[in-house]
Formats: sequence, structure tokens, C-alpha cells
Amino acid sequence: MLDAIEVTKQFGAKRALDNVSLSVLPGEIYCLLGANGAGKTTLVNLFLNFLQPTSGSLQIGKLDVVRQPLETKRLLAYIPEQVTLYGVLSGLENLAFFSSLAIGEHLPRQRLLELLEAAGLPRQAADNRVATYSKGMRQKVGIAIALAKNAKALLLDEPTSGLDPSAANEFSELLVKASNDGVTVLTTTHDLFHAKQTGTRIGIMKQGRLVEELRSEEVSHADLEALYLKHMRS
Amino acid sequence: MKTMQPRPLSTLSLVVLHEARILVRDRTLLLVCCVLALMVGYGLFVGLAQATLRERMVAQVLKHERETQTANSGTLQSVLAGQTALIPFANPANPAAMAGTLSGRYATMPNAPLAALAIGQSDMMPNYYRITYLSKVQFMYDTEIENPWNLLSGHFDLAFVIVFVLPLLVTTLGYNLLSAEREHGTLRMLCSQPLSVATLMIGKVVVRVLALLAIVIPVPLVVLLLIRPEARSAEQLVLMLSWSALVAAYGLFWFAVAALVNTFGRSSSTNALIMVALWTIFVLILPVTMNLAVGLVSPAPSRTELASRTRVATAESLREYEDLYSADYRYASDPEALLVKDERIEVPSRMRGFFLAKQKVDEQIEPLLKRFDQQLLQQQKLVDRLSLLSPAMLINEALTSIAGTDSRRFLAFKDQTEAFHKRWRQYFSPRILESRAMTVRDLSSLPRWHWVEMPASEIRWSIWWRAMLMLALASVLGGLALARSSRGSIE
Repeated sequence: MLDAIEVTKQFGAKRALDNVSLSVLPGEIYCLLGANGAGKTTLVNLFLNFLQPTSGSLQIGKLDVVRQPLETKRLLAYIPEQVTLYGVLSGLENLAFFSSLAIGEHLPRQRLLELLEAAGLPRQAADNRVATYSKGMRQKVGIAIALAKNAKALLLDEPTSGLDPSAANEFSELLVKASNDGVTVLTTTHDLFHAKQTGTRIGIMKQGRLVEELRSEEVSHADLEALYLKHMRS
Repeated sequence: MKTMQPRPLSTLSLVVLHEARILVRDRTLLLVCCVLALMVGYGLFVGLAQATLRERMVAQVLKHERETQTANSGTLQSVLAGQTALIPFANPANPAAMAGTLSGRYATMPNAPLAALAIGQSDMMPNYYRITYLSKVQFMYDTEIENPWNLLSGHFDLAFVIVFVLPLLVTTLGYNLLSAEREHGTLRMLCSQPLSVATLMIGKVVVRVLALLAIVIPVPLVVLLLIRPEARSAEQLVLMLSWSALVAAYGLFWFAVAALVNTFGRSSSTNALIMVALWTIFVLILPVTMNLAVGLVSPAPSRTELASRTRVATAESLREYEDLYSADYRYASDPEALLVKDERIEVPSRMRGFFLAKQKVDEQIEPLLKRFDQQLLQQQKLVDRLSLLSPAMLINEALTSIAGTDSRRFLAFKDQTEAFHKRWRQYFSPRILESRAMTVRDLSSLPRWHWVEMPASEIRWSIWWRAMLMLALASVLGGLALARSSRGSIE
């Protein structure tokens, strides 16, 4: 469903991604681990066509990301580390706008409230301006937008970084549920525990290269940590 | 999984509605629209006041002309009947007196129906001349001949609001079209949806263009239609349409510039600086530079040369007829000499000499005046060509054409006045030289002034090609902005 084929991304003299290839199958949750600057976010940006690869190609559902950007974006939902919304609008209004953009139709208020509730946002906060929201509340609106889109693939860039442990856990449950429904998930994270808990596959990136790929059921928490630290120190 | 396929139109309409809501919520749009409405209102008021003033002036001189004619007719009848004492230089039976101080006609140019839209050169150039047998240098060339671009600035009229202020308001609304979304982080959220940056930009521009044009175009036109019945003819409605097209094209041009500036991925503050710099270049520096260039390439005719040549020509002419100036004092002791006998009258030699001298001055000065006009025409042609370099110059020329306050209309008025002045002289010349007394019948056959409006087709063409050029410029810049926005990364 999500395929990166020999992707290289160069920023001037700096090579952010170096011949990276990976495939995420439908129903898989692929967790990308790596230190800051390893190239995780660059890879997500390339899947979103926010950046164009220097060489190689990226596909979503066999559609080329660069050649068919709008078609591929119809297939995926994205939750960044910092969900940024329009502060002068309420959470409900933000959800209404982004969901309309995503699916091309206006959802009724009741459905929007259900989506916000499913994402964990208290109902009484729905009509408040987003400018008054905490980072976690904005993140939940972002999740609601992704839920509204009903996408085949989810791209997540450190999505739980702003959430409290309970909300992060609820989010992980949402991911597992989505993957059980056949949704493909590619998420970047620093959280090894979260990766082991929710991921079906784990990739470790270092200096723009994908240095390790493994199935999460094949390693214990301790092994994963040891392996990660080994790569980071080498 | 259900995936809807949003149509481009519905995506665009979503962006437009969303953008409108954001702009209304943060009150930017409201503030800018209020400022624009106030300026449009004041600019129109100034234009209307100027137009009304000029109408009053024309009405007053025409009233004065009618009163003088009535008085002359009465006096002439009385003189011919021997009921009024003869005054040597105020005798309406004397053709030289009637050609000069006693009568005279006014050549007047009426306001164009849409004059309130731009003051243009109307506060610098006269819209009436008093035609007598005097040399035309004395009444037509006594004001400074100006390069048309010297007259561009200085009036807070509607044209000023459009040419100068509108781009600044476009800058206020458009400097951060994309940069604000990028800086707030919402661009990433937007572009993760099936929405192209080009569609986003078009949607943002559409809202802003509609908001500004919804004030600047209909308000003046509705006001004019309500208070100026002469603006309701089909021809004027077509002119209003072309005015609307011009203003819309000019607004679009500046939004296209803003969109293009936004595609370079700079910060909002840098974009604002670039926009202000471009405004300064296009609206202030280029016109001033072009003005200097016009002055250098085609210098304005020398006022000093004209004054000196006129003085010399007048002195020579007076010398030529000096023997005619000596015999007038006898009329004081012999008023009977001025009586009309068999439809003939003795035209005092001083008046005849003066008439001839003035005629001579015009003949001698004619080549210089022709050169004057030629230079002025060359300047105008140069301004037309150079105006292609600055959208502000381009639109200002067209706006004043529509309002009938451009230099072409004033030049046409000058040409027609000169022709009328010639006819006036030709009418009186045989009467003065052959000492034929004026009759009551003659008073009704005096040459009449009739203003011939410039051909509408000529005005229309000069306006539409400018509007089309402006639209083409806006389209090229807009197309470039859209092409850049679809190619570039959003990071």
C-alpha cells in the first residue's frame, strides 16, 4: 500500500535520505524509529508530496505520489506531531472544513460530534475556539479529521508526543482498530515501547538510511532497546 | 473504505467559503473594506465637487454671454434709432467693438458624463475660453503647458484611490496569502488533503478580489447613475463597463503580484517588504522616472521663447500699424462721425489698427504655436508608449479617458477653439475693413460655438486595449504564480 522505492533526498550538500526502500502492506502498522535528523519526517513528507525525491519513487496504492498528488492524498490521512488548526474557528468548525475538503461532502453536526468524541475530545469543548485548546486537544481534532476521512492509509509523525499517557493509549487502540479494518499505518516515533506495543513491523533509521527492519513479535522490549541503542552508537 | 472524489469546483468553493469565514472572524477584511469604502466615498465626493464646480463655471459664462447679447441687441436697436448717445468704443454698431471687448463668445467644453470618476487634468486646464479678435496667444497659451504626467498626482479623487491606494489594500490582504498558512502550520494540514496549493491560492484570491471589487466598482457607478441622469445612456453604460473591467484587471494584477511573491516561500514580513517595494517602483518611481524621460526625450515647449516671440511680434505689428492709432480723439468732439449711415460706420482707426495688429501677431506666431502643438503631441505619444512600462500609468491614462479629463480631450477642445477663433475673425474681418455697420440681423448670425465630442470609438479603443493589456499582464503573472505553486515544495 505504501511503497518507497530506492528513495534519495538531497538538501544541498546534505543527504537526508539515502536509497531508502520500504513497503507497508494493508493492515500493517509500520513504526519508524530513529534519532532526530535520521530522515523519518523527510520520508513522511515525501509520501505527502510536501517534498519531491531527488531520485527514486514513492507510491500509495500503486499510484505515484509525485505524478498523482491529489489522487494519493485521497487515500491517506496525516496527523503531524503538532496539529495546527485555525484558532479563530472552533474544533467542530475546523473538523467540518477539513473533513469537507477530504471527502468532498459536508458531514452533519451530529456526525462531527461523534467523530470528535471518538477521538477523545470532550463534547463541551467542540464549540470552543481552537485558540483556547491545549496541544493534546488539537491533536484529538487532528485524529477526528483523520477518522472522518476514512482513509486507506495513515501517515503519522510522532502523533502521541502531545498526548497524556491515557490519551496515547487510547490512540494506540484506535490505530490497532484501524489496522484490523485493513488500514495501512506508517508512523514515526521515538517511543520504543509504543512501537513494540502497536507496530506490526519496526524500521530503524540512521543518517538517512533504513538500517534495520524487523517484525515486532520477533523481538522483546529489551531486545528492541538494545538493538536501537547499538545502531545509534555505531 | 469509502473515498469520495471531490470535484475541483467544490474544493474551490469550500476554500472560498472557509477563507471568507476566517477573514470575517479576524476582522481584517472588515477593516480593509471600511477603509476602502471611506476612501472611495471621499474620492467620489471630490470628483463630484470638481465636476459641479466646472459645470457652474460654464453655466455662469454662458449666462454672462446671453446677458451681454441681450444688452448688445437692445443697445444696437437704440443706437440705430438714434436714442442712445454714442460712445466711441462701446458702440455695438461698430464691428471692431463687437468683435472684441463688447461681445465675444465663450468656447466651452462640457463635462463628460462620467467626469466625477477622475479629476485628471480638469483642475489645471480651462474648460472655457473667451473668444475675441485678440491674438489666441493671449487667451489660450497663458497657462503652463504640462507634461501629462506632471499632473498625475495631487488629487484625492477616485482615480487616486484606484491607482495608488487599491494596490496598498491588495498588499494588506495579500502579502501573506500562503506565508501565513506556512508560518501557522496550517499549510501542512491543508496540503495533506486532496487540495492543490494552486486551488488554495485561487480560493484565497477570489475572496479578497470579490470583497475589494464589490466596494470599489459598484459604489461609484450606482451613485453616478442615481445623481447624474446623463450617465444613464447606453454609451455611458458601455464606458462604465469598460471602467469596471479596467479596475478589476488592475486589482487582479496586484493580486497576481502578491500570489507570485508568495510562491517564493519567504516569510510574511519579507513578502510585505517586497510588495511595498514593488508598489513604490510601479506606482511612484516609474511614473516619476518616465516623467523625467519624457522631459528629456521630448522637452516641453519653452514658455520663455513663446513669451519673447509674442512680445517681439506684437511690437512689430503695432509698429506696422502705428499710423492708425493717432486719430481717435476727434470722436470726443465729433461723436456724429460714429453714426451709422447707409449701413456703414466709421470704424475708429485705432480699433482697426488693433484688430490688424492682433491678426498679424497670430500669423507670425503660428509656426511657433504649431511647433508647440507638435511637441505636445509628441509628448503625449511618448507617454502612451511609456505607460506600457507601469500598470499605474497605464490605468491612469484609461481612467481619465473614461472621465473625459485626459489630455486628448483638452487638446481637442483647444483645436476646436482655435478653429472657432479663426471663424470669429473671418466673420468680422470684412466688416471691420470695409466699415460695414452691425445690424440687429447680424447679431443672430454671429458664429456660434458648438463643442464636438471626441469619437466614442476612439475613446473605447484606447480604454479597451489598456484593459486587455492589464488583464493579460495579470493572467501571465497569475499563471506564473500557479505554475510555481504546483511545482514547488510546501516546506
